[in-house]
Amino acid sequence: MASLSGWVVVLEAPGAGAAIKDIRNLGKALVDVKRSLVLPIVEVKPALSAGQEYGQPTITHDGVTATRTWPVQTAKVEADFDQEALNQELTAPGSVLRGLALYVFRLAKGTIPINSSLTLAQFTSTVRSLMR
Amino acid sequence: MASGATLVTFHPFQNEPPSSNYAVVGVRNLHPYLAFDTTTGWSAVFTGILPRAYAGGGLTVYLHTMMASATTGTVGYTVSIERMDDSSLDLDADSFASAQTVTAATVPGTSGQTLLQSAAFTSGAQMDSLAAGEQFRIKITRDVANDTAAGDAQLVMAEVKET
Repeated sequence: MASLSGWVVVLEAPGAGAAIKDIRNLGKALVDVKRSLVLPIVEVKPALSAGQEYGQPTITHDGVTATRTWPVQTAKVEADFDQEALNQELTAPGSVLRGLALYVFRLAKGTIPINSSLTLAQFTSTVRSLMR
Repeated sequence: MASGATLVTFHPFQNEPPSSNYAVVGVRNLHPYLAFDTTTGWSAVFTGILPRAYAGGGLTVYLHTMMASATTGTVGYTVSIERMDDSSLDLDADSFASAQTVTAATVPGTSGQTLLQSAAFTSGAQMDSLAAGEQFRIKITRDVANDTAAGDAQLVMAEVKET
């Protein structure tokens, strides 16, 4: 009788070239399986350094054992804002953000000269004109 | 109750699934069933009370099943009983007696036809010394290590009879 526990791969058919039908977690207790179709998974999971995370694993098998390899990649930092909402705000007529963004853009392009004697009133007026 | 009398029947909707590897409920032409995978041993668990009229003999558990699609090969199960005697068994842990085997039998040539199979329990340890009027659970697991039919097996009804 064949029993396994933990993560296993279920094959479409026995043998090394068979397609993988499913990946299951059988839990901690031993469960009877059809050993020719159910293979235990050996995890290949390198230790992570700072700023690293695991990517999408790949699974291979030789008909007897399956190997799940976890690639290591640079950790992605999730944006803490809604990019779509920000895009809408940046392009919406009348938006302060649109005015400020255009001001900075034109400043960078040189369309608006850098003026050390710029007053707050002048700056506000320029931004308001760009909001339209 | 005389030998040979039906004591309890179990319907798929009475299943109390285990936390993992559980048989999955489905419907086939409006007939509810519990599907048991062919590769890993899925189980179904039912709770009942052994009728007061039980006369003390052995038990026979009958399983009425279909195959999802297979028309060749064999299908088998294991069945175990847990006595839930008052002021004794702690229900926080399972306590099933050793499983008895429903010997793998050839599946019908038409997948929608039902197959009737059984496992016999002698009175005593095999049925966890269950007595009349006591609660019990019955656990049915597909015997995947010993059957050969492909695809799911579908339990339609189970019957417990006094042997």
